Amino acid sequence: MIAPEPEDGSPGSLRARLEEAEQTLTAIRNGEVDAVVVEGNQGPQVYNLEGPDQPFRVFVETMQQGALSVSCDDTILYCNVAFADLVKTPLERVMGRKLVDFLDGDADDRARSLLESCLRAPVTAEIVLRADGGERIPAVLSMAPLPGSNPPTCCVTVADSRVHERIREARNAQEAAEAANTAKDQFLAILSHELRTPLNTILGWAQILRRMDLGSEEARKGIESIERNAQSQAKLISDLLDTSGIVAGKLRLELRNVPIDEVVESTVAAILSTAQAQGLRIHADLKAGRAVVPGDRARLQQILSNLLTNAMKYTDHAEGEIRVITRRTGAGVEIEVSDNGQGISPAFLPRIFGFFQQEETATKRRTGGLGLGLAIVKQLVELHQGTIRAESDGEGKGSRFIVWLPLATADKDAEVAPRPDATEPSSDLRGIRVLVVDDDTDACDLLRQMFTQRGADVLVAGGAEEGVRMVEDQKPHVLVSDVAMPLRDGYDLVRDLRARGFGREHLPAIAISAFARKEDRDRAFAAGYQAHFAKPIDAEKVAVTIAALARRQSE
Amino acid sequence: MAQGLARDRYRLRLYIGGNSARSKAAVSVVKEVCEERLGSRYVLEVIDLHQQLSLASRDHVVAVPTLLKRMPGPSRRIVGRITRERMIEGLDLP
Repeated sequence: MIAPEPEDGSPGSLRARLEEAEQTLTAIRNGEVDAVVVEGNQGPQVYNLEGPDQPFRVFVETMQQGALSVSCDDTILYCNVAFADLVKTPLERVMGRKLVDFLDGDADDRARSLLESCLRAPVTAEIVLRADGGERIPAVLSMAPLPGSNPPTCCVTVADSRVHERIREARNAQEAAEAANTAKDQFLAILSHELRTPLNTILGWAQILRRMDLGSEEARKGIESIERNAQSQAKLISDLLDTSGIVAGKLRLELRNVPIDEVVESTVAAILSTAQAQGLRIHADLKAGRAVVPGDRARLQQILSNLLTNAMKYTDHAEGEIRVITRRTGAGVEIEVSDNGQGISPAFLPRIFGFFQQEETATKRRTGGLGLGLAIVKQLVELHQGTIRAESDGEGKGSRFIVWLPLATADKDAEVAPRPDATEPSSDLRGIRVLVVDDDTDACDLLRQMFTQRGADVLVAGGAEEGVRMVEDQKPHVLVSDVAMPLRDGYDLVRDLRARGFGREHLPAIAISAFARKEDRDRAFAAGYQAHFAKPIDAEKVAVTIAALARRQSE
Repeated sequence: MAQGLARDRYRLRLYIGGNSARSKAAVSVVKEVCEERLGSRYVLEVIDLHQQLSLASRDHVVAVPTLLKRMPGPSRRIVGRITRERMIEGLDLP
């Protein structure tokens, strides 16, 4: 009986199978076999008959470089998976072929000479491989004679040079990105400085003029309008800087235990007059009592102030009303800001906390702004480990924002809260000699006017050198200095004065700077200033600080 | 080398066990004899048992080295030490 021969070469007849079994047994008995395949429970397994080479096999098969054995006539006797992958050729089509088949161009002589020299000593050379399909692959090839092999055989490793290029490119790209990031930070700091400097003069003079008798109602309204608009521009600039800080993950909180109702109360008080001027009513119903949250007071105020400003922006009818409610809920406090304004459409609601998101398209805008306020709020709330959600029953039906913040654990000390004093802090500067140092004449005039208006005796110096001379000659009570000045800056000035024996108790110093970041403040304090104000400054606040520092000095 | 599979081409499969001396010797001798006897009229696939065990199972290979002649029929195999003589005789090479 002759069985048909199957295509896959499996033995077809019983006789043939018996013969082959016999042959296999003989080969195994004679030690002619490297390994046998045994069918086990988990499929076929390979048993090596030559000893435990498994660790080396795994090593060779997992390495990223190609590894081959090549006979002295250039036949590939063995190759690992990495080489077959590199030349994009199935394993069984690599072994048995010539190494030169995988080299590019006039490689024949090259391969031969490499082989010849490698039989004497190891060689390393740069080559170009040709993959199946024609792709050219730059590679580094190392060859060494295999000791004791007969006929002589070489072992070869092949490393894809593009790997190093890719690593180098990735590193260059990362370095470029880091450099660009640093440049961007620096640019933002300068941008902030340049935007704040003129704004400081505008806002400052508006405040001075507001305190003067301007004769007509129009003039008063005009000045108020200038001041209001300059304020909102200042707000935009800090929003932009906050955004870039948040995006870069650089916003740090200074956490203390803060009584939440107090923050809400003072923030509402601060915007009350603006809201009333707009014809809006604000109701505050504060029920959180003595609840304290771990938070950054200034940032908590910013959260609430942004929510209130947002509510004011979108509530512009005669019956406009904004409600602020605080309450305790389990392990946290809730702050709810609601209005009866234009509401939020269901389509926009999910995107409301995104950066640069506004419900109106640019051409149909009724309100201004960049769409940063709520995005900043969300980020700040999350930095406080809190949550925020927005609700609205639809367009025209008002909106509700609910912030939840975790309560402080009981054992932490509450912040020494600056309780509102019975008496207003004084900005009366009568009898105080203030030295103003600034290289910018506009800024000097402004500060002189601000302080003179409040009764101070003002001296002015146009730079650090002159400032030092005037301190020695005229013994001012308080120094108010710009930071960025040519030649010697405000840091140099205060360090120089402290070194000359004018200590903080004899000459308290206030820095005024258009560099408004936290690191700028820290640097000012480290140099020897007792206070730091970012431009645009509020004349009243600076005056209060001067008065307080001068008072402490005389006590 | 592996273009076209005309009827008169020999299709051989050599199963080896990695980078061992015996396996390398098998590749060498098979290649040499094929070049000498068949010129360009052959396709040789060298398969490492450790790399492609499933193929070995399909071809009922139980020990390596094993050389299979798949075409032209009848199919034949040599198991164990592969020599020039065994190849010429066992595979009906011209």
